[in-house]
Amino acid sequence: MPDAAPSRASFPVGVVLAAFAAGTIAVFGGLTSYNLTRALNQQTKDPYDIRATAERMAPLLKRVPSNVTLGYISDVRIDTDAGKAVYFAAQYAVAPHLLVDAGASGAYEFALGNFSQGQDYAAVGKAAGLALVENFDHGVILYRKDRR
Amino acid sequence: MTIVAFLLAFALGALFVRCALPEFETRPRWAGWLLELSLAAGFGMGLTGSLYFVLLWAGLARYELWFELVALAILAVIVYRLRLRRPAVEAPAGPTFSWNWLLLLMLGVCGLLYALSFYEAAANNPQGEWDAWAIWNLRAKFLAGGEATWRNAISPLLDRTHPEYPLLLSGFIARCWGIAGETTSTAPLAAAWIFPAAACGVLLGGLAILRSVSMGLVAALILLTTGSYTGQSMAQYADVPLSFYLVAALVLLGCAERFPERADFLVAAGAAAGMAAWTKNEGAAFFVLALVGCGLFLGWRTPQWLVAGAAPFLILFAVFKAGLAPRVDTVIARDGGSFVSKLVEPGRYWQVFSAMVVDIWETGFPASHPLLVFLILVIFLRFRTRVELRSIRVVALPALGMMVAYFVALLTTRDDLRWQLDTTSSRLLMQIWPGLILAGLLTLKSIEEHATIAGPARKKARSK
Repeated sequence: MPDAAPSRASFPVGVVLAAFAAGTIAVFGGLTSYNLTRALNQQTKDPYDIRATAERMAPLLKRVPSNVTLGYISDVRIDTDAGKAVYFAAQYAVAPHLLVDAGASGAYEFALGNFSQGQDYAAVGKAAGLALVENFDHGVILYRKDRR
Repeated sequence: MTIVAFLLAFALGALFVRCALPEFETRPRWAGWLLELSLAAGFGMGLTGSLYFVLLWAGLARYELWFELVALAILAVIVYRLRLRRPAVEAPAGPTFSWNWLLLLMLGVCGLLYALSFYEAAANNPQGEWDAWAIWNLRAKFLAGGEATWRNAISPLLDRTHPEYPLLLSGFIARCWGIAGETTSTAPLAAAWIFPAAACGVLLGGLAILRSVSMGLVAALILLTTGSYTGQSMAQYADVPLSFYLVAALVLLGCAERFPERADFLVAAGAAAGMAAWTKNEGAAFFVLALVGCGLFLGWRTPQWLVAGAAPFLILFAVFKAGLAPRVDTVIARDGGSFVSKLVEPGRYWQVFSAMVVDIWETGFPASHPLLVFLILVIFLRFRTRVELRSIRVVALPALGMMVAYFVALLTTRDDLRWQLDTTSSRLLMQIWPGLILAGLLTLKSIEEHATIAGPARKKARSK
């Protein structure tokens, strides 16, 4: 065991002040950071609607077989920033199902329609070679590959 | 059940650390305990996350809990047998800064503010920011689906979300979900909170052992109040877990230099560097730099111990990259012509350099900037002598080398440079930020070195 520490040690005032200043600045930084985080959190509550998307998709997930790959069609183009956000939010909500672009890949039986506004969902699906199975409202549609 | 998953990971991590490291009989004793506890938290999450992925791959993931319990029993036996055989590391006691209690109080206040900020962020965005739910936690969901779906995490069809990224963090979260039987936000949130707390503990405990308690407290204060760093942890990005493994490896390299008779520290540093590579690709670059640092400054035989510690994770990383991960374009330009043309374009150097300076500036607010704290410490504590600074080269080289590696990676990116700088460079800086704080404070004389010893203690010192 090392020796016990010497009991009496004095420190130059400058060094003590430096330590005190470092600590005070850090506490001030912590307070500023807390206030900023708080303000930011109030402004940006779930900016990508992850929770809302999960709630919208929940009824559809009860209808599709577990763990199958799902096709994906949407009225928000996936190659835009908004489209990517909508697609990834849907992908996160339906995982562990894999979502693949219905137009690009054929390796699926069922497809998820994820729409931002009401339209003739059956016609949109038909144009993509999909038959409407069920409309779950809120723009969530279940399609199946049209075999005809 | 999520808490059971975490406790089991910590227990495994604690026994692993006990097996890998000697006991610290340094003063104060709690510094050694804090370092061990913090390492145990991070190593436990890394070990169990890696084991889960290996078992998934082998088709045995449903037996994860049994494998962990067996590993726990084996490690417990090893610890029991090693307990009496291995000498502890000792370090002479120095003077104690009489105002440490105030620094500790301030650290407590900063810790509380960070915890409150984290709680608010978690309440508002439990799923984290973009990369958390679009990359790390998404892949955790695929892995948690078990044998039927885990390969979705590395599907080439996920090319918009980096299916080639390593899987330590996603593996750990998936493991917790698997044990808990539900995919709630608790596991990713807890991991996002524990990693920075453990990084803070490693900095505090490590610096208390390598330099002094007050320097450890100052380091922890700087880290906890770096807005960019705490913000990344609330975002649930993998950069913070990576930062833990990097700073853990650096502290252990520092210990290897301080206690050169022990190879244990190098093996543990290797394990931390290996886990860093299995967390994010940047960790592989760090491992190479640590290897070079060891060879240059600790002796040409020392890298073998580093490799020994890192081997399981590096093998996993290499096999994953070679055999499982889809071939996706790397961030760095691949074709030689494009790479060279980017290297010889002077405007890009300025663009990257200025972005990195801005990132450093934005680590804090002007009146409470970490650099301001460092400047005050430099003025009053002063740098150590050139001879003394030789002892920190093995820590400084990998830490500063990472900055150079980031610079080159950004300079030669295949993507639009402006976009890359806007979305990446501040995150990269935060990966090595705790390591930079460690290296920066190691260059200074400690507060305790300025002590004037009075009374019986001085007489005792003179009589020697």
